Amino acid sequence: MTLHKVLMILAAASMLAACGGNKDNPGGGGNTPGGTTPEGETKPEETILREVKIQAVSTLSSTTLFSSDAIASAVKNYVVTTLNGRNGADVTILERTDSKGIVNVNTIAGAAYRNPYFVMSKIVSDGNYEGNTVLLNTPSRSFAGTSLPGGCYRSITSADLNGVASKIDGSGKVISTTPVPMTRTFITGRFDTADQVREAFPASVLPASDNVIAVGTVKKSVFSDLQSTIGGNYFVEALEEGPEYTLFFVGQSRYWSVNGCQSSVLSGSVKAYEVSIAWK
Amino acid sequence: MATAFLALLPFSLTAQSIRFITWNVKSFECTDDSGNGSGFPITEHVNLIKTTGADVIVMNEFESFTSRMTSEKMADLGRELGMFTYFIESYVKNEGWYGNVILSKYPIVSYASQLHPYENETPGKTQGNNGDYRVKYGEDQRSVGYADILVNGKTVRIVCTHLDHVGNTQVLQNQVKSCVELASLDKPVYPTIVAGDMNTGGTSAAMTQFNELGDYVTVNRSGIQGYANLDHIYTFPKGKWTASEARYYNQGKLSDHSIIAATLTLND
Repeated sequence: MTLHKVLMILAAASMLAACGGNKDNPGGGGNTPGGTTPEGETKPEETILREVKIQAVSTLSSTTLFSSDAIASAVKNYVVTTLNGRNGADVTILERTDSKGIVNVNTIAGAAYRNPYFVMSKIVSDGNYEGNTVLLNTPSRSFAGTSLPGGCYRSITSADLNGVASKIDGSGKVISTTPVPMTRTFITGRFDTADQVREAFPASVLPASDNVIAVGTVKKSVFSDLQSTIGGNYFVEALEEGPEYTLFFVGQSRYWSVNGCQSSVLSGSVKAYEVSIAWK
Repeated sequence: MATAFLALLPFSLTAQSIRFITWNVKSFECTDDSGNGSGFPITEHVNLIKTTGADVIVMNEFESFTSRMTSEKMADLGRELGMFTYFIESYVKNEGWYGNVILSKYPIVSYASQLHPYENETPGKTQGNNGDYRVKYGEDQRSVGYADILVNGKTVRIVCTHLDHVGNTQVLQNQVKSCVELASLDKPVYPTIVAGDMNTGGTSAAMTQFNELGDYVTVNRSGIQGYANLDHIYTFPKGKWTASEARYYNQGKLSDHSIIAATLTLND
């Protein structure tokens, strides 16, 4: 075997290792030298964009979500058409659907081919409850709510996420995409007080041995308490600060980073937030 | 002063009573198969349910997002009745699922389900069984699930199951054991109601563990239509609930099972 052939094999092997990974710990990727053109110019580097997307629909304030028919229609259109129902989304949080919004929730979930799960955040009065709805794509075997002070609940479930690894050339063009399905423990809730935050995220629900992620909202004044509570290998990042609440992400820094959070107005003060996180 | 204090609380402390029904809906096919081919309409089912005054409903033989259903029936029921919903999967069926449903006008704060023990003579199959496998595990894959609901500030566990219809006592006892295990019926963490199509008599040998751990809700079934003595309600732990207004509602052609109903009141 010539030296040239040995070097080519070694180069190929190193590229395969860089792009490797498995379903349980998808990883790899990074920048790949672009090589040179036939004219001898250096090509820009290719990059790998790894994305898992989670959506949240919210006003990030203290108002109920379905405050008008127009808003209900806009949210339905977003979930059913923009996200293409079950085909374009994995986990979608609808904030403050509340008990009064149950008819709208059922209308949207049915039309989107998704399964709704309620996450209580406050007992206002008998028959009047504040809370979120999480839309998943399959019937869940466990969507466990734990009671916190003030009628608030933190919920934990096992979420099937469809990650995508995209190879992008130097001009920003997507060359190829690779699906990377994964299942992760997912935590969510809407928190108003420091007590709720502390009880929602004890060390036991964020173990170093597990790859847990959380997306939820917290009152802006309490975000610093959330930062103080999240420790060990886990980090918390503010994704979007609204009028009264902050949308946040929690994950282990050795497994995750945040690509970004894009928002779009659905109707009035209701926005859709698309959270993009990258596995390492 | 006590009255003034109670008035400040955000919820009522009146006795927790739940109007509860269990109904095997035969996938909304109807006994004359008129549902099949006309989109499996639920209007008549909803109208009958409304006459029961139900706050909480468990249903068996339910399809979710299967290709033959023209719309998602669980969502349709939830919308028409203004209820929270939970689908308990037994097996995958035609792009969707077959199983059971819990509906509640009270918010659901926690959800869980599991499959009953089952093996098929043909690995991977979930319906139809033969020989020793049929004797040991029953015909089809069945399941149990619960929804913890908040009733006037108190958590109540609603458990729904559908047991095997082949009728082997040991199979049913194993499935009952599975219910006890999932819902902690031997040491209930919350006042609990268990209901569904048990495919056997409510006090039969197969139901021994339910009757040892909880209380059976007796219903006068004289004149009942369809399967007379398969759908049952139990409450846990013993002595925790009082049942009243227990009765059936005849369903006509809507199903081969009647609605079994009771008002269940917590004894505090």
